Amino acid sequence: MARNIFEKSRTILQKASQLIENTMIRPLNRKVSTQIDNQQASSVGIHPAAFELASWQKSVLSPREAWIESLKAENSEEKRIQLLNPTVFAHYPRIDLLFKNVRWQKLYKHVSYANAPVRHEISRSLKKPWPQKGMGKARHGDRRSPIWIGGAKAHGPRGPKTYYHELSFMVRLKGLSTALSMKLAQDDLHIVENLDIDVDDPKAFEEVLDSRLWGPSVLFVDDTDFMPERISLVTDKIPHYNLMPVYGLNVYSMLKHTTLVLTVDAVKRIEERMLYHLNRTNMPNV
Amino acid sequence: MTSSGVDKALSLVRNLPRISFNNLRDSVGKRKPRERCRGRYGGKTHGCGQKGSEQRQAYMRLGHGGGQNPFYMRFSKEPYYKGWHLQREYLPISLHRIQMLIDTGRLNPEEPIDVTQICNTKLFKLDPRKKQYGFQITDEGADCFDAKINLEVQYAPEHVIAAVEKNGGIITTAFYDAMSLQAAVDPEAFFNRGVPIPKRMLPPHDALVQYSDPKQRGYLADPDKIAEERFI
Repeated sequence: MARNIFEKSRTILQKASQLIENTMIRPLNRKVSTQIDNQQASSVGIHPAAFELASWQKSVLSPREAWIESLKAENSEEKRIQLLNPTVFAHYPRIDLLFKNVRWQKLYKHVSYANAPVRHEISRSLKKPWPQKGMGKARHGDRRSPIWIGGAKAHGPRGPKTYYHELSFMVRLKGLSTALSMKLAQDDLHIVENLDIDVDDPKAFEEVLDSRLWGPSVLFVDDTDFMPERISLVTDKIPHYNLMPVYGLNVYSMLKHTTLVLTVDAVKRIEERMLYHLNRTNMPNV
Repeated sequence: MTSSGVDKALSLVRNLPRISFNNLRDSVGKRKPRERCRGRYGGKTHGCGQKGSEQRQAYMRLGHGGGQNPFYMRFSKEPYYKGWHLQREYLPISLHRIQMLIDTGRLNPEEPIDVTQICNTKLFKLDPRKKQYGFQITDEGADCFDAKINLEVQYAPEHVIAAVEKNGGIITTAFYDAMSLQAAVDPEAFFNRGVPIPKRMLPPHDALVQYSDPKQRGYLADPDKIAEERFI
């Protein structure tokens, strides 16, 4: 019985790693095989059903698929499929991680310049307003006190205050994969072969994208920061179409733009980087 | 076919409004506004009581008892934790775990596997400051262990030694004192300190027997006697 349990866990691991390998970026003509090798199992002396992956495990590990489209007006009839790694593109929709990331992105740069002078900083005389006794008035030492109009603020904001903080590495990572997964799930993610276009007029380009219902605002992401000339000139005129290299990808931008367009190179780079960071064991102090 | 929770969640999200800044929320109960203490709600004396040593923050030490014989002084001591500060802890790793690490490529069976290699996988937290003196191997998974390795740990029982040597491997038990262990656990951090490499001290008296015993493959034992034991 004990032997069976350990053999089972070893063989499950082997099958899982096979499936994970299949979800990595591969030549697109090959089919995804989720068939488990029963012959191997039976040679070890275990019933195939004992180590078969549960259906929920298969669904978690199976890759997602997206059409590879083109930014040019005319679409060719043959369309290829891009396989997307489920760890990156089918992450559980953690809305709270998205919230944390957006809040962090907005707040870490923020400096509050609010400063309320304390009573010794108010420029008013230190002279005792009236004698201590005999006046029938309340006793006061100076006109700078917080209870005086024009006096100090007792517990007010003090000086420039930074809201700089660092969000945990894993929260940032999983925020990115949540954002990508949400975009894919809500049909706001499109994969294109490259960022080549065939129109020079910004209005014409807008019409092309509007006809496909590609959202008011679009974020184009490529692996390089040296974008093709045509699309650079066209999107320069349109404020709601933006170009971005992969290293600039962030949760705030992904949520700000309604549609996210990734090139095939960008997808490959994102997956490679994300999976590296999610699985590394030599994590420095991040 | 049953779908996983992730699939169900993503298919739910598919039919909901587009995610944007006005849809986001932090996890429940995370952010609460600070309660101000004003009036009868935490105000006036602000939890400090009325006059006396308490409001004047002149407290007596914990357990004082007001002058009578304190509780902690009424009873004699018992030797429950005698020698506790000298006890050594060895983190257990099963043979099954080692096999998994080799299968997943986290440990290289071609190279000797010792404390440094196991700590380099970053899957185990060995803290010499917590009186943890190394690793011990447990015999869980000894039945299906089939890796030929050169293993050096701090303790291994008979079954484990038999399992490792059955596949043609070598197992040794070696002692690292606290200073040397700190260097071994994270060599990079140690060398960054610029401190000379410490000399590895001999084991304490109560461990000398174990590490000189060929039956336990001690590093101080006679190699010929170890060879004899391997033969047996």
